[in-house]
Amino acid sequence: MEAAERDALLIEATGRGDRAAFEELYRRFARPVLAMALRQLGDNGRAEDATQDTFAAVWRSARSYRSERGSASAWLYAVARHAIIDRARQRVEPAVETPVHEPSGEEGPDEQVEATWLAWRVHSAVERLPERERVVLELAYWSGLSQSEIASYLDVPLGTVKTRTRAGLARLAGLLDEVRE
Amino acid sequence: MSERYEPPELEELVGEGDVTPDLRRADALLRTVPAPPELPPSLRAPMPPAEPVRLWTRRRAFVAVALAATLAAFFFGLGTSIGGDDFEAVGTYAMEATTDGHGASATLRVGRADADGNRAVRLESAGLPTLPKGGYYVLWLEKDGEYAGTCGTFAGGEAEWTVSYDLWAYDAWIVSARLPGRPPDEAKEVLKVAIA
Repeated sequence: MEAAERDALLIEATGRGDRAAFEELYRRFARPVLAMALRQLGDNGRAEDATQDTFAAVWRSARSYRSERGSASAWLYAVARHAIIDRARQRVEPAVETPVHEPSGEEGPDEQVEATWLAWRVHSAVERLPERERVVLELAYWSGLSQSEIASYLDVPLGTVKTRTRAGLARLAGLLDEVRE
Repeated sequence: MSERYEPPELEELVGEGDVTPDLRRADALLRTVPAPPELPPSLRAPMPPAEPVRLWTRRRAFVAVALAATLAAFFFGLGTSIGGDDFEAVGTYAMEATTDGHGASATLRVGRADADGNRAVRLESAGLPTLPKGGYYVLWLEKDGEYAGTCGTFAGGEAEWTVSYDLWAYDAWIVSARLPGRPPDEAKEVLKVAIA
């Protein structure tokens, strides 16, 4: 079963009150939702609140999901986007921590939307990778560790790091195709 | 924005073997987007969802409307006679200061659940010290001595949120103070009350 199909089934099961399905959806999408909320809201406290708002809305409205109207990922993206916008409109509470993602000041609204959607696609796809491939890719691309340091950190041979990187990238390409729309 | 780390070339990352267009495309996208954040402790598990919404029969809906009208009339009369705000509480809790709370107090009122299972929670606190810039208070639920779900954040005084928890399934309400630059597990509990 393809990941996108599996996500659709999880949303439908959530709509029937299946808590295990809801928890699996949460495990798959919590980080992408939090990443999007941080990007849009700029502070950790409100982004955490928006993430919780998103999954509360998923639980409430999963019954309304229709797979023929669009992908599960796109539906979740829309739910998250609305929750984040709602949170942004609320009374601004005191800044809670150092902003993680400063607005660049260079992107226009269209570019921001496109960048947000791209990040959502990539983060969602990365979350679907097998753990050992996901960890290697995250360390290789986002941690600043060299591959030798990754090998040492994970206590595996350097060749294994490269093999997992190759396998992870190949699988990621397929997953990105699935969540394109 | 901080400068992004640039990983080695793709050929070096994957070692010997063909570099296919698929690999190159995935590589390019990973270089484009920022790292996703790690989930903080408060988000490592989903908050407990409310019971799913059940469709009402016409008979049940009629009974509910009649009951609501009766209750509305009753509470209108009660409100008129004793004054107060328009918050219709089904549960009220007096939160007491912990040793780190330094004499603060709060009243927590829980509203009636709506048809979707959401309910308002209003907190009126007194005596909570103003936190340094970037600090905030968190109202959360405890179960079996562990964190079980966040209800919201506030800066002191009054605050109101909408939550979808089955609140009576938990053991206690707790308010913690989170200080800027300090990890969440160092937040100090300042107010607490058991959920009867």
